[in-house]
Amino acid sequence: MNQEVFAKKRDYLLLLPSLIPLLLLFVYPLLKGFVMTFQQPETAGLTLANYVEFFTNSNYYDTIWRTLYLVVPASIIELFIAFGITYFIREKMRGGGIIAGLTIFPLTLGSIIVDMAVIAFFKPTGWFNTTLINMGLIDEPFTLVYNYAGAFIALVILGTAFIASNLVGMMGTIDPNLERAARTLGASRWVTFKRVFWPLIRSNVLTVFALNLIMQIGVYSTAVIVGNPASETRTFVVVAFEEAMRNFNYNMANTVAIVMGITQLLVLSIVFAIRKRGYIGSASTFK
Amino acid sequence: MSQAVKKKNSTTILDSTRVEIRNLTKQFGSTTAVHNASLDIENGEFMTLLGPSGCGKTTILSMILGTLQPTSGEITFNGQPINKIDMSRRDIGMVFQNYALFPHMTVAQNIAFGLDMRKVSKSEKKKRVEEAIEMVQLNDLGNRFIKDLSGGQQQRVALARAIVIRPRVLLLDEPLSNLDAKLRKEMRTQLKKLHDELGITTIYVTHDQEEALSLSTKVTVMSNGIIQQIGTPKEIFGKPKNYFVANFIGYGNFLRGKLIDEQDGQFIFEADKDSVRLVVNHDKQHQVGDEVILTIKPEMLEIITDPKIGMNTLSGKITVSDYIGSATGYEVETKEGRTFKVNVLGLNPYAMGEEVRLYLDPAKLLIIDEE
Amino acid sequence: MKAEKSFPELEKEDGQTVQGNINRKPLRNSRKGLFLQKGYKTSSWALILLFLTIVLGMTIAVVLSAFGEEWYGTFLPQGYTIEWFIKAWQAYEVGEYFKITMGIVLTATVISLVLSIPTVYILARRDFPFKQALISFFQLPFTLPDLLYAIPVASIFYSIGLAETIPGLIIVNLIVGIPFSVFILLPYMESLDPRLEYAATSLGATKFKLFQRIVLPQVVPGITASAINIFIRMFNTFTIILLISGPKTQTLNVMVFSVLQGSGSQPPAMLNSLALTLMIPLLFFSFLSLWVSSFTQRRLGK
Repeated sequence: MNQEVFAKKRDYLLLLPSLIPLLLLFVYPLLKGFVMTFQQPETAGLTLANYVEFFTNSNYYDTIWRTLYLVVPASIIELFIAFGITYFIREKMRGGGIIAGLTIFPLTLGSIIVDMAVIAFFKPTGWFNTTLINMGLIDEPFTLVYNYAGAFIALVILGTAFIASNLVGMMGTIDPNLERAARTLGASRWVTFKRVFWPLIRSNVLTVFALNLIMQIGVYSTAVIVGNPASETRTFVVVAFEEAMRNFNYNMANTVAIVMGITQLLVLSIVFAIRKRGYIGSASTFK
Repeated sequence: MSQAVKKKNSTTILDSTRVEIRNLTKQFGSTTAVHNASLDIENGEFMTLLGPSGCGKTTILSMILGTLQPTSGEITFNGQPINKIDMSRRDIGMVFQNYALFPHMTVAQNIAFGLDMRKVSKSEKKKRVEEAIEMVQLNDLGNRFIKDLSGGQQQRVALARAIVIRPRVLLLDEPLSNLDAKLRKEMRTQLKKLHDELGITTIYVTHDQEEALSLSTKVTVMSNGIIQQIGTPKEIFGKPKNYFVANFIGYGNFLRGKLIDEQDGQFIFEADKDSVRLVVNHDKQHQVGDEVILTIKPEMLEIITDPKIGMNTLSGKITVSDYIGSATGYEVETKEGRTFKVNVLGLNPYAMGEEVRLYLDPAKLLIIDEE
Repeated sequence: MKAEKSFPELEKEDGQTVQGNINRKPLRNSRKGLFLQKGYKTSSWALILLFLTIVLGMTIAVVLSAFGEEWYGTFLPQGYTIEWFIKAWQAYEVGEYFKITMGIVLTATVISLVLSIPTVYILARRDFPFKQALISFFQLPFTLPDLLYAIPVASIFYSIGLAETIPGLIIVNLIVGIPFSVFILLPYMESLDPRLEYAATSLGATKFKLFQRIVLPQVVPGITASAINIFIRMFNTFTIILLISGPKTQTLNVMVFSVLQGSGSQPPAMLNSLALTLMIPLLFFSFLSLWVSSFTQRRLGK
């Protein structure tokens, strides 16, 4: 702490070059955006009309359920796949690095390429359906693209990659001696997991889960490219963009954005309420 | 001789196990961590595996524990091979170097963990946890979390957690290495007392020769994956078998050469480098013609003023003087260009550069082999 | 060797109670445990294989379809060609958009760094009230959902005429660039030894010289690494660019997205080729970071 000198008046000036642009480009729009939700495009004065419209018109309020119905099950499946894979390869295992690398790989491709890849692989004439037909398992191909299923698959692939990329490092923070200790004391592998490994990693896993969940609530390009943005995958962002770019109704667009932000906050607080009920703290063995 | 005799004064005696290790080898890729090690650990014995880091002692411990599978060879408990037994079924109490205490559990929960796994009844569990807590003197700390304990207290919890399950064998992996010097001594005494009380067959891994000699009933010295010597602390300390063992446990002065003659029950030794001749007492293992190493501990070397003693003396001058409390450590450089380490009790009566004579008592010189 | 004394004998000798079960049962593995372990391993491998097959399969499928001649109904395309790729490249002027994007992002990276370095210096070296709050404030733009500020920014930019212009796109990138450079430069700056600065001041250096001669040379490696990260981050900025982009003023990923969103009539090979042009920045950045790291290593000597 002694290397820090208390700031003089002049020093504050050096904060301005970065603060002013942020105030203009971020804080002011944020506040203006919030006020905008209480205004109408043409008329003056404050009104709740936008929110009333949102919660009475099924065209709008349906987006809440559509988004959550798409994103919440996907996130849970992503967590299971990512945790299952990274837990299995957590100890030095031959090929573990390659498995981790391939699991995380879709993250480097980015959303748009993954969306196109899902279409190429799961479309009716794609490898997935032709393989199943050739094996005699099905007669008609599944419709897995340009609908709920397509968006779901693309989300699962991207989300699993994201969660796994965070979990890989996290698994290493649990001292392997703790598991060994439990095992020598007579615990089976499952009991060791249940009573030692999981309680220690739980809070971090839930944090990553929450991060991924709120990221996916903002899903857009996947919903548009592999999904069916007109109905099944009409998420918050799809509607917000529609209002902004097609109808030029920035007030309504921002109302949708605010409702999305609140939804994200609610989801976050639910996950953190669950997280608080377990052990939160260091998993290291020394103070 | 038998360990069992020692238990006469004890109040609690647990049954225990004889551990045999037969031709145990462990390879990691092309490197051999343990080479063909054979070792018997008697009922109730306190066996220390002593050696520098990387000598294979921890690898042997891991194979007994079950975290590593031997490449070849066998480990048995009371004659039963355990290689294929899952580590959770081996009934071993283990104290890890970093204690590996569960940070999300209290002291009592940590200690009770092994009992939970054994489905011990609630009342029995309570009784045994309390006993264990008392045994390691952690009274009133049962409800604390691990992070609220000092290093020494954590160490005791780890010990209690390992013994409360009444293990067949107790394994300790450098348990004292994370404690400060004073606490280490205290814990050493406690560990010894505990072992005397319980009589559990104990295998202790350390690189600290002082710990090994003070705690154990038997010591195994290892280097480079090979067992160098097995013996009681007295044997190891008094009669190290080879250069490595002698050097490791603190013999400081070595002369390489040959036994050239024998007179009146004594050998005549001639050094290779400078043909220094010394008389040394006869021992049974060596004979004239052997290539050997002579060694003597720094505290066995004498600096003399008596001009009458002429045999086995070397003259030189003091080049280093290091006062270490109860004794002073000197380095004496002889005319032949050798350096000897000498420890002299008391204040330092010799000045730097002073000409002195060293006396190498034939009875205190030790003949050892290179390998 | 020593005779093995059995414990019951000892008991008689001492006449004391012996605790513990003398006749322990032989050790035995749990059948159920072995069975469960096998099941766990099998299902884990099944999960890994399934997931990785899909990941690899879809990646190969999209690449093959972009570089395949005719692909309908067969397992593999009938032949391979880069014709679609070239066609997509030309039809959508990918080179042009790549250039525009590079220009925008490069300019925005430089501006972000110039604006944020003084701030980072003060945050690392000076103490003042609410400093932690200020640091958290700088992290806010990339913790909040970007839609929340993107829509009002777009409406403001349209009303003052900055939308659909190159300067507008550069300015908008600063919302991403400034907080991110503060975020990744701060640890670097904090890790530098302040005593060097004291030494320089005591030798009579003026404030400007101090910064130029002492601080800057030390942070240059950190700044280069950070610059690449900021660059990548902005290259991938999507939401806000989409909202204010015009036909000729948009970045590569926004252009690709707009095409994919709008056209069902184009052949899939063409669209896949277009999507894969987004791989080019990916390759470019891997190359860039390799080059920079080897360059800085050479400059630092080994």
